[in-house]
Amino acid sequence: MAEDLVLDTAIRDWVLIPLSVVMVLIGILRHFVSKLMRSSQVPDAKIVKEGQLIVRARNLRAGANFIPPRSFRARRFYFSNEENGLLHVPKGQAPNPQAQMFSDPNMAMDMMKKNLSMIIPQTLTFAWVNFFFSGFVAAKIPFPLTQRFRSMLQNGIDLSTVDVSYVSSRSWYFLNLFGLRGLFSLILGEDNATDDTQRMMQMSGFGFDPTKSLGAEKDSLDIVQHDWALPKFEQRAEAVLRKILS
Amino acid sequence: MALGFAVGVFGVLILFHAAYSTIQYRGLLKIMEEEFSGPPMNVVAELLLGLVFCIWAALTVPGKFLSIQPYSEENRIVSLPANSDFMIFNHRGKVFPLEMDVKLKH
Amino acid sequence: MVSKTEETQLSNLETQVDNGGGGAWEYLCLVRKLKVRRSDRVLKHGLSILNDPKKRSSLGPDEWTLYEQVAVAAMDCQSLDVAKDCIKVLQKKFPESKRVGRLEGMLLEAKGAWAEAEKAYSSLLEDNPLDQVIHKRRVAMAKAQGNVSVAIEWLNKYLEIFMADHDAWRELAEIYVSLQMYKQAAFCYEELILSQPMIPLYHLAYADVLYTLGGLENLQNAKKYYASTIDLTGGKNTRALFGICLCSSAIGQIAKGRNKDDKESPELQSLAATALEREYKQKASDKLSLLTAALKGLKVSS
Repeated sequence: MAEDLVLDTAIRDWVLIPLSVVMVLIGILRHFVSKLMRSSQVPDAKIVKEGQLIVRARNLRAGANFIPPRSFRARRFYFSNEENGLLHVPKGQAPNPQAQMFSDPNMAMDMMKKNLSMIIPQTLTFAWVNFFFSGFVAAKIPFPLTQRFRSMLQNGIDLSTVDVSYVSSRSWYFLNLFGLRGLFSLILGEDNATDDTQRMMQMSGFGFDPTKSLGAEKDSLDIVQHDWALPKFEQRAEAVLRKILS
Repeated sequence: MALGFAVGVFGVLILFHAAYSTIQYRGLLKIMEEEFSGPPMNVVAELLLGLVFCIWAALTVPGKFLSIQPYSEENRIVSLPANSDFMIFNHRGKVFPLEMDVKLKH
Repeated sequence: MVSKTEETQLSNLETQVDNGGGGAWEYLCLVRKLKVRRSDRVLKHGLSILNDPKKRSSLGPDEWTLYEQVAVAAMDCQSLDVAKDCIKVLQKKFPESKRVGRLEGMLLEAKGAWAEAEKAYSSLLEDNPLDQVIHKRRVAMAKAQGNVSVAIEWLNKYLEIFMADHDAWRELAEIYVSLQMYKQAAFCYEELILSQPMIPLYHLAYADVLYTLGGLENLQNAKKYYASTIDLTGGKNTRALFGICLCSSAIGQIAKGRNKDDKESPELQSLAATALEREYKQKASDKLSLLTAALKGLKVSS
């Protein structure tokens, strides 16, 4: 084991703490900037309708046993018949999200704005950190790690003899960049713009594909076994009445 | 509430004491060069006691249990809210004007 | 949904506030939370807070919510001047707000200026064609004018898009009941039971509709739903108990002509009758004789 390094307290005061504070502040700034730039989206009537339709179909599935069999069958037919059922999506008519993106310039614009608000401050801060804080050993984590973590924790220090548990300033920047999400969700609320995972999801899926969820809802509605719960309630009511009368 | 909290603290203390005794016991075994097969009986009893105390405190301190029965007094629904989105003003209240003198002063 | 405890809390606060015991703000908050319609009291106590600068400023941002609440209550009480003043204050604070625009539309409604209100709402809808509340206001406006068929039409159009909105389903059900279109109302109540299966009042209303429709099958179903209401309320709903008695008697009358092969549980009705008698004995003993006479008429009393 290598000799313990003694870190100057000035490094703590002038590198570690300022870097963390700056990262937090930049995150908050980014949140508000993206909030400013976000164009207020007018939801499309069709999408709203599909969302409501899914809620209603789900309600039908969940509460199926509380309505008479005939009503249930009528509703199921209404939702999932092959001709004009609400949940039935004709093949080949499913809108292609890619095409939708090109047809709606606003959507692409929104994406760009989001990405810009993400990338620009990141490059700037990275350059800033590189310029001012490169080459410091900024912190030490209190447990040993294997050599594989060297590239993660000691980015910017090209010494192979330093113990892996020391963290370089540039790595501290990266750790902050990815690790502060929990803190942001505490400060800014759940749906903040800095949430990376959410954005990743949005980017890959590009919204959600309503036709897919409609189809899934239709399939699960088709296999629901209707077992009317009400006949049981007569016995239960008798039991209840007997209990309060006794 | 205060009693439950005290019991909880006591339970945690007992758990800590059990941990401490186990460590001591292991140290003793090391000196006597015997194998550690399990904590002694009284430590196990202590652990169980601490567990019971902690569970009891955890169930009483945070708050009262609420009923989930649909017919309990807290859950029994006696009236629906007024459907205020569909409120209409063209009702018979129009014919009976308010007696009181109302005015927004500023 | 107003539960029993909340109802008692509300009535306690109401007497306290009416007797000048303070707690007006808590009362107004509770009214807002439970969405009950106590317009006269809201107007009186809300104004007493708003007219007191010290109390008003202590509310902080809730002040504006109170202005809105009082404005609506004032419209409901036909104190249009108060409503107008409240809206003016709100407008000064939030110019260009859609919510204030909605209040203005409602004020026009309260005045009876239907055409102008319609104009105001359609201009608001142009900005946001999916504003649920404004769609609902239009329905209410048609209803207030007495054009119930138009209201139904609007409501059906609205429900085609917002089909998971149970408030609208409830409104539609109530309109259908008022027009004696019970089959349609039954459909709406089924929809309500689906969306909130644990609310006994929907079961009760559905049972009422089924009973009114008549016919052996409907009566049997109605009895089942009365039974579920009893189960969900713990037997404390008098209407459901009466419903059981009425249904049993009606089923008995229909089944008399045919062969008696249905396995009706005869106990439920006698139990319900006894429960009713007991409840009357406890709460209104002077009306007990009326009840026994009525039950005897139904031939369910044991």
